[in-house]
Amino acid sequence: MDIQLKRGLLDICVLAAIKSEDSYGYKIIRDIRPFLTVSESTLYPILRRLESSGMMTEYSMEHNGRLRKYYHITPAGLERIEEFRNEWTEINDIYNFVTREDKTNDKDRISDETA
Amino acid sequence: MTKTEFLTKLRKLLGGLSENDIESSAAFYSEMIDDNIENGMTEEEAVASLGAIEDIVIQIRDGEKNKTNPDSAAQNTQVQENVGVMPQNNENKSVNAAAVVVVIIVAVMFGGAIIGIYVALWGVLIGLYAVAGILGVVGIAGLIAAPFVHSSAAAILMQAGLGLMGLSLCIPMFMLCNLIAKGLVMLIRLTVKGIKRFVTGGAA
Repeated sequence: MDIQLKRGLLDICVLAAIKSEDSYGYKIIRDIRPFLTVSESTLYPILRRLESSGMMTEYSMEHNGRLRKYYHITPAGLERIEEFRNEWTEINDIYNFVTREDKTNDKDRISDETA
Repeated sequence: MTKTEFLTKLRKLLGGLSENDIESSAAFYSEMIDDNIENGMTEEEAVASLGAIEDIVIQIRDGEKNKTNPDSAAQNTQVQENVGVMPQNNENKSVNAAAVVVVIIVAVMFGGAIIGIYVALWGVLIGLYAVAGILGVVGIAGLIAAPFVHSSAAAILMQAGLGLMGLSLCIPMFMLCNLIAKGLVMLIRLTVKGIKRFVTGGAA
C-alpha cells in the first residue's frame, strides 16, 4: 500500500485497537497485523504522537513481575475515529470516480500502450 | 544480542535526546522483548525480531522531531486542505477574510490609541518647556526689578534670591526637557523601524 496512505491509516488502526478496551504494545501489533504490517519501531512513534496530541493516555501496570504500559483512548481519540468514518465516505466517492466505467478498459490500455 | 546489550546500545545511540525520551523508548523496547519471550521466542530471537537497531533509532529520533515541530497529524490536515474538498475550502476562505478584518480593526484601534498617547506625551513636554521658560523670564525680571520695587534691603535681597532660584531651576529643567524630547524622537524612530521589519518580514 502507498506509504502516505498507510501512515494515516495506522494512526486510526492503533486507536481502533484500544477503542473497546485498554491495550499494550505487543497486543496492539498482533491485533493490527492481519490488516496492516506494523513493526515495533513503527508503532512506537505513533504511540508517542497519539499520546502527545491527547488522543490517548498511558499508564503502567504490573504483569509477571514487570511493568507493562497500557494505553487508554480519550474522548478526542474516539472523535478521531468518528471523523475517519466521515472521511471514509469521501474516500469512497473518490474511489468511485477513479474506477468509473470508461469506454476503454484500463487494463487493456495498459497492455496496449506498453506493447 | 541479549536484551541488556540491546538496551545499553539503544540508550547510547539515543544520546542527545532528553532523559525522559530515552527512558521511555528503552521501557517500550524492554517490554516488547519481554512480551516476545513470553510468547515463545528465545531472548536472542526476541531482540533480532525488532530489526536493525540503527533503523529503530532513526524512527525514534524522527518521531521526537515531529512531536516538537509541526506534528505529522498537522501535516496530514495540510495535505487534506491542499487536495481540497470544495465546500470546506470556501468556508476556510470566509473564515480567513473575517480574521483579516478583525486584525485590521484591532490594529487601527491600537494604532489610534498609541498615536494619541504619543501626541499627549509631546503636549506634556511642551507644557514643561513653557514652565521652564516662564521660570527663567520671571527669575531674570525679578532679579532686575528688585532694587526698584522695594525699599528695604531685606525685601530686595529676598526678591533677588527668589529670582536666582527661578533661574537656577529653569536651566536643569530645560536640559531635562531636551532629554525627554530626544527620547520621544528615538521612540518614533524605533517604532518605524519595527513596523518596517514586521512588514518586510511578513512579505518574505
